[in-house]
Amino acid sequence: MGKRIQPLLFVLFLGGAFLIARLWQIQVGAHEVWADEAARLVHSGKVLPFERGRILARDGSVMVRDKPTYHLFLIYRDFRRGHPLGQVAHARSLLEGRAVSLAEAENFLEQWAEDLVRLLPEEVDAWARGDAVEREGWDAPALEGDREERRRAARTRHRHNRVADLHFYLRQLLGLEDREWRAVDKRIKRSDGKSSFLHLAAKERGLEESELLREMLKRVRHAMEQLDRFAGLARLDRDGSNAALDGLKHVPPLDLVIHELERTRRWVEDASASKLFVEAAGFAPGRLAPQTLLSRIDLDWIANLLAWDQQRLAEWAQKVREGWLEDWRDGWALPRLHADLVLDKIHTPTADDLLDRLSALYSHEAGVGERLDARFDETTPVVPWYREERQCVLDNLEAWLALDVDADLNERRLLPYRDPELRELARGLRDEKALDSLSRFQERPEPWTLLDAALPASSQFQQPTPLMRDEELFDWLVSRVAARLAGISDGRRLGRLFVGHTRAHEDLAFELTRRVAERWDAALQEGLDEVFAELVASASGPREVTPDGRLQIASSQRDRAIERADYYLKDYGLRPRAMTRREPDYMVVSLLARYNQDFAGLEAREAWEREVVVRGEDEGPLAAGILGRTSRVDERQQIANRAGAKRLRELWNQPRRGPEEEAELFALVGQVLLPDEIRGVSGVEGFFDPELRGSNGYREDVGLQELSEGGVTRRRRDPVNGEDIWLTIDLELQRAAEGILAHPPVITSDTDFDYRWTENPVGAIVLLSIEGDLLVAASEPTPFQEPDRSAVGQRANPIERTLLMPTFQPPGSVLKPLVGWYALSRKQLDPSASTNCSWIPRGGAGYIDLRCWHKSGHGHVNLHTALRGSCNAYFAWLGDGFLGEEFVELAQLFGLDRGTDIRTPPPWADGLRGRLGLREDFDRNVFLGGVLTDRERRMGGNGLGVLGVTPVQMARAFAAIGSGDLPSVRVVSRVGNQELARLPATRMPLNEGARRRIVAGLKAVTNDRAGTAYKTLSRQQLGFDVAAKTGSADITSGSDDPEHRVRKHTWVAGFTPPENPVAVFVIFVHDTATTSSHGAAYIAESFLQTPQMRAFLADRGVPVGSIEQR
Amino acid sequence: MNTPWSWKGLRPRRGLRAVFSARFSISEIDWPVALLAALLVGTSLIFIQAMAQSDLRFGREDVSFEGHLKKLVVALPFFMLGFLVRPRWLRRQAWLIYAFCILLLVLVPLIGEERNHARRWIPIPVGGFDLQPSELAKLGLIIALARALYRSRLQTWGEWGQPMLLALLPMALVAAQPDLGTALTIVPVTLGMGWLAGARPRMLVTLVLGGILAGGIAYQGELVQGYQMKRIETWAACFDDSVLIESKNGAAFHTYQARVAIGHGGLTGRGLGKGVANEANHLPERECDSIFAVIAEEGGFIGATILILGYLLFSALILISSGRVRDRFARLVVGGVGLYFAAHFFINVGVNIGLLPMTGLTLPLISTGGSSLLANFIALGLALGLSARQEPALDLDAFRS
Repeated sequence: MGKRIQPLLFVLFLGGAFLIARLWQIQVGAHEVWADEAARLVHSGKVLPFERGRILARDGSVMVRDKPTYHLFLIYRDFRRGHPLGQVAHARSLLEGRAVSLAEAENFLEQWAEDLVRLLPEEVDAWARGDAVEREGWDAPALEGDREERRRAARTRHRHNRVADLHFYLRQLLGLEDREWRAVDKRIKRSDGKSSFLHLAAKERGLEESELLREMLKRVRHAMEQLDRFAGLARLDRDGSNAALDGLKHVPPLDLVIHELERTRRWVEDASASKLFVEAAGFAPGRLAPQTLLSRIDLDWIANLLAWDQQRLAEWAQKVREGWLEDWRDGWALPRLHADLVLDKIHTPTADDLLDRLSALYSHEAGVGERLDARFDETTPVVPWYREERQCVLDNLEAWLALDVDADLNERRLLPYRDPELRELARGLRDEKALDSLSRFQERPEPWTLLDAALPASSQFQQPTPLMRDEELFDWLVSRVAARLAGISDGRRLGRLFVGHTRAHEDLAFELTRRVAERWDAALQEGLDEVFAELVASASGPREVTPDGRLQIASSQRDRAIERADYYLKDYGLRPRAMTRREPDYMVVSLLARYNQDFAGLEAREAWEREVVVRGEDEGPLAAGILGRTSRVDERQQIANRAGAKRLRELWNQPRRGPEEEAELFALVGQVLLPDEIRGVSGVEGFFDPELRGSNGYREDVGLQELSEGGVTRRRRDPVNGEDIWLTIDLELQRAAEGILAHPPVITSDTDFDYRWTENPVGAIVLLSIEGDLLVAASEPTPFQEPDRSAVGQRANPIERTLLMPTFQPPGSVLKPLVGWYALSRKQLDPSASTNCSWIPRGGAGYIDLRCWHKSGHGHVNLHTALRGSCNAYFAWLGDGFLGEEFVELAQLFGLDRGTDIRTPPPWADGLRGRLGLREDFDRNVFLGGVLTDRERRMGGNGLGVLGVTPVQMARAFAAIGSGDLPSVRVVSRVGNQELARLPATRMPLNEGARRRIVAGLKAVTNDRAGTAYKTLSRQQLGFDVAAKTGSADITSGSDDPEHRVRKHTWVAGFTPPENPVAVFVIFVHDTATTSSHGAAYIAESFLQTPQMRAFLADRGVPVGSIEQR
Repeated sequence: MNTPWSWKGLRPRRGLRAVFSARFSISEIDWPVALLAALLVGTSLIFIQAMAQSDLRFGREDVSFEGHLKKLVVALPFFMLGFLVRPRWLRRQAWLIYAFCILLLVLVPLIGEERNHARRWIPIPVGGFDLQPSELAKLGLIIALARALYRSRLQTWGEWGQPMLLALLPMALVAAQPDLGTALTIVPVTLGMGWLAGARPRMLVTLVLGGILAGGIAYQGELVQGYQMKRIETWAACFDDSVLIESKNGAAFHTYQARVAIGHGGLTGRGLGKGVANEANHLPERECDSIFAVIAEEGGFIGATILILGYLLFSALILISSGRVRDRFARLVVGGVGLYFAAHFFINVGVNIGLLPMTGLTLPLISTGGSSLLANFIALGLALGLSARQEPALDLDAFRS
């Protein structure tokens, strides 16, 4: 061995030892790190969603259920690469340097496809060097300048990179396999570039050029025929589920599908462009007004990357701005901000809290989410607004513009809250006392007085306040509040906005914040435009500013972004986008499954959907108000869900877990809500959500299970489906009641009949079994109806009305039997004692100052005749003798001061207070707590003015009259396999003989000729006996009625049969111009006459005779 | 004009006999080198087959075992060319060979084909083969350097002029393609051959330090291309595992994927075809430039170490056998080939394990890649053939002890 070899060998083996040492460090020392990373690359976890429980009617019929369905998804990248329409449109876009639309390509598809495959390799090479490609009817223009300039411009426009893309599209159009294309590629290299791609491919296949062309065109035609077939079946326009298609309802289905494809393509490109901009500039492009963005910053590099022209660039700038304002700011950040404030249980949010969060919207982008979430994460301190030193757009100017940027730019007061004087002041005055002093220090903020007036006093009011309707007033208010917020104001007052419990409070607060943000944003844009103008003026040279005065993003930043362009396009292009949320027809699913090779990018994916099985009048579910609604997880739930979701993500990404972590993962998968999961938010769906909801399962695969049979399922936990809920609702009776409310009877023979009410009925029907099962709970307008925009008041408020009283809802004369029974039992009223219903000084007949409905008076009346004729004077006289506390006791005895037990917890109740749904109103301060004036006592005896009730409350009270027991109301009889036993009824501590006397009076109401319901509810009318009472309560004086008629609530409440009743009914009519006998009684009559009601009674052994036609 | 002559009979040879000769004893062949080369090629076949199987399993067709076999079959005759060529003919045609290689490199920008932003290939009209002239240029340079150093011991700085020019010309042409990785392999080969030719250690150290200084100046002065700067920056940052993981979707994608594959292998490996590199298919060029990462993952530390030791032994044996060659030119060529394999190996493995910035370079005899295999087989043929001949020489070393 030569002496020159030995040192070389030494170096060689020394190097080898070094390599082995490094290998040891990676493979053994850091093995766990890289093994985890490797596991992340191949492991895939999948949540297995549970099936939500069904809701069944009394007879076991399914009312609502989860059903497996399909959703149509589009994966645009697959479509672009796999469908001739995408291939041609994108190939042409590359060549022409503009976004050639799919619709445009569809018009000339075959011709363009042929043009493309007839391209010569030398033409493509020349194009890549900046030359033109010319064809009949179209051309890819040459770039400007001499040969060298064209080359440079072609490089800037990435033409040389796009040759490979163009080849890909040509290969796909020609239908060549990888192997064939490799061979063609070699032919291209060997040829002089003067044989077309078509010619070379035909040669490789051993075909004539014309044969291959025919094959290709046949394939293109077939693909379009299949797409057309899909379009015809998918019917994207049917349910208007896609807002963008609303204006295109009458165009052919294929055009709609192409429109949707184009929309997704634009979304992919827009999102990629935005991401590129963020990568280069460090902030979202939507933070700048389109005009500023386009005129002050050079964006040609984005246009060049995506083959856009200037028009498309302008459309993007507009779109991202809209997206930022509507989707990000108003749709994401502000709701989150509000959810945070509302959910904040610890603090009463102050103006400072609002400012802290609002200022976060303008702080450094990466921190916005954290800032908004900070209150719920103790590890992340909230940065007070006065310490917010930098503004997002100005944050990294030095870095993203290669300019000597003046550092003072960041100190600019572009937003009002950045006033240094104010910030300094706030820095020293942070505690409550200091805030008070600050409030005193400043002018007392007047707007709060107005806010007090504007915000509804009672949580019962759901309607937008008059203030919110009055744009001018609201604007003025906002300007004042915004001015206050720019400084600092009375925090405790502002806090009230967020601790209010109604939607109206929240809506108002949200709108207020939105408008403040809007004003701040306008100020910011104005300031930023000036900043950029100054920067342009101070910039020099083409590296800093383009000849037309746009600032250049630093090349290092830009190049880094450009490097990732393909990744972003691929990433967004691979994200599935729902084409429609509506379930596609079976044929569509079948088509996509059977001929998936013809539908590149289109997928029908399995999903669960809540299906309404039994529908009512308006196509919504029967008993919609009781069933309630479901919705996707909202911001509030997401925030409440956050800690769990965060931990779940951590565990998810942790490829190796211990047994405890494994158990935690499975538990969290079951608990944490998925982003598109359905939650019950009202009614039974909401109240029994914990039972209806199951828990999700989980499957984790290792080894790319979906691709390889050799993959291993590492972990699996099956989903646990939700439990079924059995309602007490009788479907047939419910349907009958809803039908009557939706189409109330029109009684032309009654001169007092209120026709206007029947045009837009508002009311409710309740049928309760005597034991307390809710058989019918019908409301009108139903909660699933679109509110009539022209409607006012309660007509515009489609809510459940059997359990809620959205307005003050006095029972009127239906309270009289309760008052009578109480008086007989507790006040030892002599039933024969009478009073005189005669002339009173206020005009008309009545008692002292309370008028009777009978204008000339009933004369001398006792309890029986007063009940029969609903004499107000008699019950005013009775009320006059009641003590205030006796009224309160009466309400307590009949359960009018509390709920009806419909929210009775199931035996496994888990903190009932936290449950949503089955909301029930009741008057917490019955009869004004007993503090009544003399007149109020007389009104109280008539159910007027001092007490509000719901129809279900009234039905339960009448059940007590009918049976002597006050039942607990229930609407759910069984959950899963567990019966929900009724709570025991309460025996009424009142005299049984007195009860029978009252029942006799109620029977006279319907069967005595002098009874107020004789015309409608007599045995002759119904075929069976009922005991009932009519009632009316004025709600307006009639001054605002066009016909100057007094507006009122009217009621009918009763039970049947009068002895041993089986069911109690209550009819409630809101806002009518006539009394119960001329309105509500007809509805009661119609309902009780229905075959369903008769069959129901007959089933329970009630003798039902024939009906005498009116 | 010199005419070819025969040791036996002193008759001039003409035609192919002047170029090729099989007149040597079988026992003179360096069998350990041949055996190791065969083992390396066999290893390549095993792993490429596993990759192809894995692709088949996952519905891909990125790696073709048949394609690799075909390339080997095409490369075998070139091995024979190298094996049978006569050293004297080679020495006399050295300038011509070098000139031909330079011509090919010059032609690349003119008729070459661009792939992945680099123009390195010349399509060959026959057989659908693409030639990467830089691969052949490395061999051409070895032969030319051997020719230049045949009469020079590099004792003075002046003697360095010719070899330096010979090396810098192809380096510049290759770097312009751009292919910095290939260009860099020329440096150790040139310096190594200089050392073998008798250069003084002080001179070599000065040259190495000078090279490092020049590189530093080029880097500081931003004279290297933007993408190369970025690679160097990424490389420097990615010694920290957490930084590498953070940058995995950006500039460090390739480095990250290679590191994951290697680290995942652990001590004993994942088993043939069962690595994440094959399953997930994220590792770029896994059958070519990154094949070491695949072997390290599936063979583990033990398998990768065996490969490293085997390769080192292979290169070392070639170097040792060069020491036994009596003809100075042939000895320098064989030594150059040993350095060529070693340089490729160190750079390829160094890149894969993150010791060097990312650059595309094959692992000789193991990676796929037609031109590379062609050059590797010629080089192997030269090493085996030239070392097997004991033809007497009247060169500078003929009368040295």
